[in-house]
Amino acid sequence: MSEAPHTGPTPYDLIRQKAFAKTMPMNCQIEITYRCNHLCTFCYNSPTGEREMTTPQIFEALRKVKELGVLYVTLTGGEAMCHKDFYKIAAEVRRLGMALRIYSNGYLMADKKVVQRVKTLSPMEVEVSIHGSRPESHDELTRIRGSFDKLMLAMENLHEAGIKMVIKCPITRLNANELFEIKAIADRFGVQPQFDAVITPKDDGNLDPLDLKADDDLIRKYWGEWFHELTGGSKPPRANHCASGSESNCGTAVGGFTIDPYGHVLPCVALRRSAGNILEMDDLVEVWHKSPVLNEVRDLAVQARTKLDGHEDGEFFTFCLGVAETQTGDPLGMYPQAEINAKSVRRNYELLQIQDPEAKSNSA
Amino acid sequence: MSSDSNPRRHPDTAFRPVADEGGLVVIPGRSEVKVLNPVGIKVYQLLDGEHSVEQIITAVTAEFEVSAEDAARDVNDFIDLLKEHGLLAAPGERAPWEAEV
Repeated sequence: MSEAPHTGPTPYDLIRQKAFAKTMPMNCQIEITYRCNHLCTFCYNSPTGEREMTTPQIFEALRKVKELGVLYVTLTGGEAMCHKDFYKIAAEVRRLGMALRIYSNGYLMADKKVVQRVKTLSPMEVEVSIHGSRPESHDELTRIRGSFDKLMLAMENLHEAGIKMVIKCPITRLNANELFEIKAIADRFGVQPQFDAVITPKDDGNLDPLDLKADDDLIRKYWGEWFHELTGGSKPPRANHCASGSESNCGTAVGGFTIDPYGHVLPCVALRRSAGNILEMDDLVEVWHKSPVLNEVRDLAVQARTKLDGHEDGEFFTFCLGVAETQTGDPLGMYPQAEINAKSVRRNYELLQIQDPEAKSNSA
Repeated sequence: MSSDSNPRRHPDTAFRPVADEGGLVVIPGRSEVKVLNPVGIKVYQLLDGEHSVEQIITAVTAEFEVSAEDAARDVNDFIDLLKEHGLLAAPGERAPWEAEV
């Protein structure tokens, strides 16, 4: 008799859950600059004109992040690689004993020499964004002619260098009919693309990026008909996986946090309430545990989960407090995309139940 | 003292103890994460090239309920295992990113 497949949490899941329960952050996302070589129409960054951290100040911030016990540092922007000291900063992350992730639009990695230099940093992964399967659609969004071709070269170079690549695609009305072609591009590199059905407002609350969101019927089709094929047979996410096993909606201000180019410590990339400037903090550990801003956000994340549990589609929600706040003015406010996604994911599961005789008999 | 007697974890790894539960070791270049038990993560922490194997065994004996004999066997086995998995630095070995520092 064959053994039943192991479906419970792995040792890795368990230790992450323990860290989460003790509010020990594993991740820090650092926006090292707002400079960028793209002009994406839906970019959420909202530079305020403050002075960005200098390289020595970023080093100081990294030292404090390390003291807090962070394991994974993600360098992002803007375009992180547009920072004049990108390699120095990335190497400092590694010197301090933390693992490195890089978020990039890939433009500069069209150059093989750049990718070879990135490889010396031994990044855990490089995450690039694709906005269309053709130059016309991708370049329309980035507003940089040739950016699609550069991205294709970057992907080839990363693949050839053996660097783990994550390919991300926010679904917009410009690429919604190209998702299978985008998957085909990712397939060439043996990568499962990660589609994102939520377009976020700008950090300052400006809702202009939402003009680019795909229409609701298409999003329903994405969850209901396309998702399995696009993700190699995966089931849609039923909740924010980073908080699984906890009472929270997500990992904001618990599993990780974000630092903006000015040094502000934020609960996460989406919820941009400053807990103070890291350069003015003598003890980040104390701020992390005692900040009224961070503690309020942690409470809100629990309240969000409780509220969603009372919703008829509750277990199917992937809810973002930051999007809720920018769209509705209330971090617990219901925003249309979350509801549409949840209903569509629920429908997907109901269809699975109907189409899967085993699931049907088990539930009988 | 030979470098073998002061073993050093591979500079291309990252690690994080999680309270008393053990910890994680990340091997970024291989995109791998290993989960270690509390003794394992303690030993990994001490593999800094400063501590000798004997000092590590003493630290383990002091912190965990284990005899010196068992600790010596377990620490040596664990170090061998790390070596096998490429998680210990060879003498003089540097990580590629050190050229950027």
